[in-house]
Amino acid sequence: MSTLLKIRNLSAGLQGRRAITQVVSNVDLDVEAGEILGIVGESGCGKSTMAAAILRLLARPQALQSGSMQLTLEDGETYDLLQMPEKKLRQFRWRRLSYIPQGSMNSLNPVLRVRRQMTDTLVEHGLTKEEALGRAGEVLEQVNLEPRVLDSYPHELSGGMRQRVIIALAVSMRPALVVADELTTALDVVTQRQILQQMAAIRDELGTTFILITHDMGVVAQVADRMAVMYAGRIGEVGSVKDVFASPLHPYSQALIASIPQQSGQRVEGLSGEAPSPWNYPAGCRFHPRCPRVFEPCSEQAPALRPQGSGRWAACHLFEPQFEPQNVSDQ
Amino acid sequence: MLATKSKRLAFVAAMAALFALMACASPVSEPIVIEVTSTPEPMMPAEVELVFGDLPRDETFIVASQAPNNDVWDSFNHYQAATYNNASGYNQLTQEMPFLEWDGVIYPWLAQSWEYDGDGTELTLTITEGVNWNDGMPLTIEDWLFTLQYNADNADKGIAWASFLTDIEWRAEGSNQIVFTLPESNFRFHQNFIGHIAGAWRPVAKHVWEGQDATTFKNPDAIGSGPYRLVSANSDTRTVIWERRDEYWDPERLPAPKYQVWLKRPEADVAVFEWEEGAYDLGRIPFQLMTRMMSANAHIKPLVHQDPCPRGLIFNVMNEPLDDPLFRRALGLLMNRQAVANLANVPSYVTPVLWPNTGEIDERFYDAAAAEEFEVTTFDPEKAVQLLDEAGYALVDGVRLDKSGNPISLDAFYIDIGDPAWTVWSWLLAEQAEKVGIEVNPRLLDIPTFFAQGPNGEFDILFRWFCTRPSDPTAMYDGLHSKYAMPIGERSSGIPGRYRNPELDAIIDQIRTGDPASAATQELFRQAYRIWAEEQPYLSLFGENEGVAFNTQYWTGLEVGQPWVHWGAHFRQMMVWIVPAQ
Amino acid sequence: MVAQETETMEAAEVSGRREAVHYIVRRFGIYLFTLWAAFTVAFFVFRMVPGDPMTILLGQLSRAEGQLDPEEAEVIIAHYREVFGLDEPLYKQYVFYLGNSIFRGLDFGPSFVAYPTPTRDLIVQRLPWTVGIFTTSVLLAWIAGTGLGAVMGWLHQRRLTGLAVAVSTLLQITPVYLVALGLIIYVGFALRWLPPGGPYAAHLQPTWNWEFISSLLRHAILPMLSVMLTLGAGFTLGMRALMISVLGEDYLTFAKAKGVLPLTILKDYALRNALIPQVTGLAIVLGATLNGIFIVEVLFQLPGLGTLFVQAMGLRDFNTMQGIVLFSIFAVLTLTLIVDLALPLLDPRIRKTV
Ligand SMILES: Nc1ncnc2c1ncn2[C@@H]1O[C@H](COP(=O)(O)OP(=O)(O)OP(=O)(O)O)[C@@H](O)[C@H]1O
Ligand code: SF4
Ligand SMILES: [Mg+2]
Repeated sequence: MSTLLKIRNLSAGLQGRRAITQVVSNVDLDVEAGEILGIVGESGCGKSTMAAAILRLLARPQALQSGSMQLTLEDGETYDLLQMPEKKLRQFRWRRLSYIPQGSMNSLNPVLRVRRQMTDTLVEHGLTKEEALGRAGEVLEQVNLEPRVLDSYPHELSGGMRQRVIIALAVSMRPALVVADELTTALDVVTQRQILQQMAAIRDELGTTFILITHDMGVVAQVADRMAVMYAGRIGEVGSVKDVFASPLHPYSQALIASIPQQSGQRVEGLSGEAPSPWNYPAGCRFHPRCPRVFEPCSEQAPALRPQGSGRWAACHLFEPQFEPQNVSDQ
Repeated sequence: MLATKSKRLAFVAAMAALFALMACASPVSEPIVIEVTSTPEPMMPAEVELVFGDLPRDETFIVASQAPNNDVWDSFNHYQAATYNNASGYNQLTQEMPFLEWDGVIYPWLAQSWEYDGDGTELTLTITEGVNWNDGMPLTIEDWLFTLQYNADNADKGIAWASFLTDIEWRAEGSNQIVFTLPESNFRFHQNFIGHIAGAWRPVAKHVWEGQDATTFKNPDAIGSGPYRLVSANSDTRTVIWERRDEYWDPERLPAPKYQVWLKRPEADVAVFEWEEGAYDLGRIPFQLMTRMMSANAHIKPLVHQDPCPRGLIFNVMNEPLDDPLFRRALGLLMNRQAVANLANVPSYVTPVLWPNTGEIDERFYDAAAAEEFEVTTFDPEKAVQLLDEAGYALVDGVRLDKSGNPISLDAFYIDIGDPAWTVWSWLLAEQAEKVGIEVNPRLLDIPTFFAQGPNGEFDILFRWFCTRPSDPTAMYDGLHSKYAMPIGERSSGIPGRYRNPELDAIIDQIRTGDPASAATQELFRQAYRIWAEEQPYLSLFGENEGVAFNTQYWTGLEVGQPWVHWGAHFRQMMVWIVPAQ
Repeated sequence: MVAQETETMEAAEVSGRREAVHYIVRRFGIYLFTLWAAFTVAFFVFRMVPGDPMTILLGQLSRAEGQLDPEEAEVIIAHYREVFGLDEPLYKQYVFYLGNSIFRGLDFGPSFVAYPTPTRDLIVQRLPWTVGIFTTSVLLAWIAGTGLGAVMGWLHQRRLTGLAVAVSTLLQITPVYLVALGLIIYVGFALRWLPPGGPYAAHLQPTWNWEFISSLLRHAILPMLSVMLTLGAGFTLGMRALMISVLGEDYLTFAKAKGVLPLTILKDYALRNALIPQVTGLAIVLGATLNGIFIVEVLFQLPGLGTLFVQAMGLRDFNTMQGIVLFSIFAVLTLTLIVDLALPLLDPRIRKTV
């Protein structure tokens, strides 16, 4: 398996009147080709900001601060997304990487028919009108929608149908990577499952890589191959879903997994206090005020994301060799 | 006579003071240069918008006409009540009266003379021959006879100058005389043919009006006997253009301007700029703006004249204690008339009579001794207190009580037309009345309400003007006749104070049938004056001077002090005096 | 699952069509009711204003004709009372006027302002002025304001738009008569670029030649400009706010992500959506705008309905006032109706939900 997207030292924030408030800090992440990578984290931890940063769709006051993103395609060509000029990027997006934004129920223009909203994109990316129509019907079929949906306005469709239209749109140009932000959040469990299955089916059929952003551990468990746990703008742990669920390394991952029986969207059980907002990220390890395993270096130094063997990564002082805490044996 | 002479002097002095004031108001304070005498450079007129096609400006007389709200521009029918708006020039330029009265002098016009038989039951009117209509047709006795019959036939259609023909017979004698037979003696029948400050009966062209409906016919070509004919009338721009006809039947009195343009300019705030640019020759404009205009354009002069309608106050004698003549006189003594007159837009004067006068009061109708005895123009609060005490209006805790023991409180109604004198009287009266324990509440009325509430008698004290014939005050006294004392709430067409006095009624009845030229009738007039002075059912407030703006750049000949009104029949006479400026 | 959803869609389409008919019928019913209510209110309210037209007539007569014989005055008044139907009891007058208005083609009786011209003729004669100024200036103001507002909203992060917003706000809060007076004094008199008043040069007669038309246009500029400046500023600010809020919508971010051209985004995504409330806004300001037009007419001496109304008010000319009010309400309601019925064309959601 080759690495499709190499994210290094990605930081993004909110441009204030005087200074930038960092929201996403020094993210290092590798996305493998053909996988479904789940990114989980509490509400407000910066998942959507990171997604938008990957697509370079940050809109003011959001602003990119630093980093690099290397996209290596099947044919071996490599692009640095952050260096790409805006015009080229517009072509590149959707053809190579596409996006399902959060709240995609509202991502369809209410005054245009679905047909127009699909074909304008496809034509813009080089298809003829007829090709575009054919392709639109094709991808709708892929998500189990009838072609007549093309003649509907968004408000005439159910939430699930709208979500599927968005997925169809996202894969319509056969992109290598789809970043799906909260794909299923507003849907009932049955519809949620159907949509996730269709996503997996598309991956199997077309080999599309998905970054699936969610705060629902259940969703990750269902379809993702690997997962990254995010807390307060930083990646805490990365590993295969199986491994992480079986033996979470990071204390935050542990807490998250402990809370799985809970309904999605609720506050993580067993943790005191609230997740910090970007304006009051704590110094040192950002998790330390809530961490049950906190020890001396935690409040002073931020732990770096380091490989922990067998494809696992964690960012916690518990795993730094120079700190040997007494209670490490608890593990 | 002495009294009137001094009034004349006061008038001239007031005018002089006014001009001095205006000179000071103008910001031009140039140093006096002796070598070069330069005439002030007038501003050039706005060439673009107020040039009327090919009309040469120096042959055109432009009137910024005043008009009430009517908007009749396509109808030239003086039988319609709505056409009396004087905005188009029709009534002034083509409608001629048999006689015109000007400054107390009666000029023959369409008729030459009148003559009564001994007992005033027959009138012979001699008409002017050789008159023509402005379409070139001759105006003959046929037209006179037609019009008399036409008016009589349409008397029930709501037209003016019709009901005076009821029960009257007439016949032609030869080609230039009409003999009227009157049912009872009437030495004023001829007055219906004299245009004074307003209209009179006038003949219309038989060939135009025959078979036409008196109230809906529009007389589209504005046929009349005057010296102008209609060129165009435009209701969009509210502009009427008239052209002088050189075949006018009276070359001696042919006006100088070849063209006249009458425009209606509703917003004075805007019109003032046009005035400054010399767009108009004549018109009425609020006085504050006129001062400004004069400093901007040296050609603009105020033509100050005496308004022919004196201002007065009517007491509603139905309301206690206004039913008491002594109380009314006391209020009169509290009224500082000179102060009010001084506050008018143009400083005005106090007059002891309420019929139109030119500053000189006709002694034949006036009893100076009565005026003095009953102090009809005196301001004397002490005397007022004395009168009130004597008449039994007790002062209790600073409040004066009427005879039933209630505090006295009166509503004084005024209207606001932009002249301070019209409103300030009520405040001056209230101030003085308060000092003697009487409450007077000044109340503003909008003009339509004023016209409704006044005749219905819904007031205590009401401001009014009195417009009647200058040479004969009969009509004014007639307004006091008991027959007009309707119940409150019903419209009275007389002086609406509900005054009743059998003694005065008897005198009025006699005056109406008497010959105003006879000594006996004049004695009756003086008696009526004495009763009025003693009773004061209404009182004289002041005689008003008014100003209109006159642009002397193209036309001159009109002078300050001429008793001049541009909207009335007088305009016809006034035009004779206008001459080109060079 | 899919079949089921298709079925509901079909059902929705049928019921949607029925609802649309329902909507139009109901909307039209409201329209007729409002017209009737306006007529009734106008009828009674004007008659409650103090002042009787006949006594005003008498006041005018006595000014123009001097000493009118009191008996003669009575005859004149009786005649006109009859002509104007003022002798009848109020309810009878009401029924009579209502009947005439409906069954005799908006016949409001003779006018008093310009007797004997019937009120209807008078209104018809003045109508082109008001309608001309009103529709052109409102439409132009709306188009210009919407366009400008859209650009200002689109570029709302640029510095310069702050200045434009300040200017628009200032213009919007300035009363229209002040703008009009300012234009009259500065453009009309001080600079003399354009005529300060009147419908066209006073010496012209309406004919279809270039001299007349150019004069007409030159005279129309300032009055229209005064309306357009104040109104357009409002539209600009409104559209700018709508644009900014639409730019924050999810479908805009998505459109951008889809790689659609910025121009297409502006046109199909931002404008199309912001226009819907902007059109509704147009319907709302129509009524208020007519008042402004009336003032402007008086200031610029245009022979439109506003000028006529002021005159009619001064004479308590009930017939004319009623005619104008009814007509104005009719016009505003009709325009609002048109806008309301046109809205579903712009907004597919209304086709069903209303
Ligand atoms: N446009 C913005 N303006 C102000 N604050 C913003 C903006 N975008 C993001 N933020 C702030 O940045 C932080 C991260 O937001 P982000 O949307 O990335 O979180 P998230 O993890 O996607 O949360 P959720 O699960 O609720 O979607 C939040 O505190 C949010 O308030
Ligand atoms: S670094 Fe310290 S505070 Fe942070 S997660 Fe590890 S143990 Fe907890
Ligand atoms: Mg999010």
